[in-house]
Amino acid sequence: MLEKRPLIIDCDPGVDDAQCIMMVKGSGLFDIRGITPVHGNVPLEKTKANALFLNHYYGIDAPVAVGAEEAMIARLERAEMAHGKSGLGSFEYSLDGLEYSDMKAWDFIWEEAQKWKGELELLAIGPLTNIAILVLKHPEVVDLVKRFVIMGGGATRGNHTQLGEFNIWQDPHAAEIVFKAGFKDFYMVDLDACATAYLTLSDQDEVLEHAKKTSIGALFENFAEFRKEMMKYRKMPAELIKYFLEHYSPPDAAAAAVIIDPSICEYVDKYVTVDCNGVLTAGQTVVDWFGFTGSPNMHVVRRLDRERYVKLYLDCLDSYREVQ
Amino acid sequence: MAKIPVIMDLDTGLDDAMALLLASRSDAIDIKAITTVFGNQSVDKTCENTLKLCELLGIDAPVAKGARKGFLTKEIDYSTGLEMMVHGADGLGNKGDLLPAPVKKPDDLTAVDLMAKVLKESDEKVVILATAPLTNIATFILAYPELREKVRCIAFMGGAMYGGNIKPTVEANIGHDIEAATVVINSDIPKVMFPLDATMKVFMTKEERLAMKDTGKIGTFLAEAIQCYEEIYDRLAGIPGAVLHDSIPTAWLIDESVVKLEDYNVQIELNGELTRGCTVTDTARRFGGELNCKVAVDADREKIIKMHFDALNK
Repeated sequence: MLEKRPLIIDCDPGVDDAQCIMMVKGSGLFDIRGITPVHGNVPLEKTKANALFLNHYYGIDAPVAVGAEEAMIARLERAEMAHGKSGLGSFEYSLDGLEYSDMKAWDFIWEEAQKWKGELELLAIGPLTNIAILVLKHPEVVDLVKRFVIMGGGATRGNHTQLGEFNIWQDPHAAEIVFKAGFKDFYMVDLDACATAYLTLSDQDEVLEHAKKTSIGALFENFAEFRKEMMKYRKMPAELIKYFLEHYSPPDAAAAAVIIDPSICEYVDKYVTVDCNGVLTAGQTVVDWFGFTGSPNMHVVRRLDRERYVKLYLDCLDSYREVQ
Repeated sequence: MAKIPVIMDLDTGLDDAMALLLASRSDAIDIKAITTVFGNQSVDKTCENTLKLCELLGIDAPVAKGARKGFLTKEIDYSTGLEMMVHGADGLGNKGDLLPAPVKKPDDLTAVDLMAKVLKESDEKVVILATAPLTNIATFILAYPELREKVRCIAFMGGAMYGGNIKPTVEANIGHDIEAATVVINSDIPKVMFPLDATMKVFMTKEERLAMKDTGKIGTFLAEAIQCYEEIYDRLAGIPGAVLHDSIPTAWLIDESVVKLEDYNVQIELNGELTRGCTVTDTARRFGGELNCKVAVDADREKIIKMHFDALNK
């Protein structure tokens, strides 16, 4: 049997985080060493509870080591509109009997990185505050992380502001620290890339049909309902709402696909920095397309193979099927 | 009198050396740990210099090594530039070789973890006395938010209400890590800032420097070391002596009456083309910001210089 790949998931669950974690666990490829929640889509109180819940609900049962409550410097807004007040749509759950690790996110990751001597992989799908504190506290960690995949940034656009993608915009200083830290095999799964990994209406129906046969169907049914409901309140032109409904692309799930199988994506290697201070550009991931300012520090993912992505999503979901 | 537990965060550094002299001989200060950071020299050198001075001064607190660079900056090239001119290529006025190589080794813990250990173990609140870029301290604040309440205050040499020393409106300790300084200023830990406006008033004249030699081995070393410091202040700023910036917060901890403190709103400019790194201080208390910082607006040169001689004569 193939050795499972040790991995830590840093996240701010989050409806799309929930789908990402589902895929990572469902792929069967990983030894998920821990989950490190961070503030983000909703406040830390909720992201950590959601992480603790999902960790058990998906049968991962790894340590959940809690991280940062707020951005290093920036002032925050949340995304409760997109993820529901709890962060997991309107899904309700109990945390009875579940406990957090007594380690902090950054100390936990550092300890695991040392333990795995260069084999640990890292998937970060929220604001990069935890990872920045890790890098500040233990700069040498970058040599011990084998692969690093983030969902964040926009090479050509933003989603929270014209040029600012939410995760990066939430803590641009943290992102800039992380981008400059020297991680190897570092994938930025940006908004452009995420948009190529979409589920059509019929894919979405199929997901729901598959989900119903699994142990996690209730959560995915709730997400499907919540998505329709939420779109009614989005302040966007009607044709854009229609487009998003017909091209559902939970961003963090694209990052899951990339870490599960990097060959699913195409990327270009570029030097990317984060604007921390611009009046209009704060939180922009500035891609230096022509190499004016530095040599590449990451793989900027441009697209995923959609067909493979949809199949992977369903396969991962199927792994949760109740024993017949 | 009960001593105040203190963690010193240094980038030793000539004026850091003078601050260590004051702290080591004081009845008011109990040095629990010393953490080191890049700044006046690379962290390797500031740590080694601190270890050497601990042996010279008989300080037995643990010394830990901290950050090599600022949050967003590259490592400084110390082979050229202002720092080398001011503090010498070794950070001790090119006189570090007069001291034996240190037997004492850096602590196994990082600077940030050593700070946390001291705070966790202390029954009383601890003062963090910082005379360097605020990288270690900001990292500590981020990594150990629950220990903030154990910090009595952060007394830091840095900033300027008016002017600067590495740029027209930027002081070195702030300018070397502007983001870290912002994390510190934004924190709810009580803060006391000792800006250039106060510290530049405390210079040691050539006569005073030479008089240190009459006090013995320690005074002789320090007098040798800060000679270049005296020369550079004369040449660059027309000040008749070596400015002992880092001694001011240390002297204040020993005797509050040596500086004048006022409450102000201080914010750090992160963005301005000419002013990035400026510690913008609302000196007129006009603009309504929270009075988040005590600021030293004046310092008593005579008293503070005398404190150094009292320390040397102990």
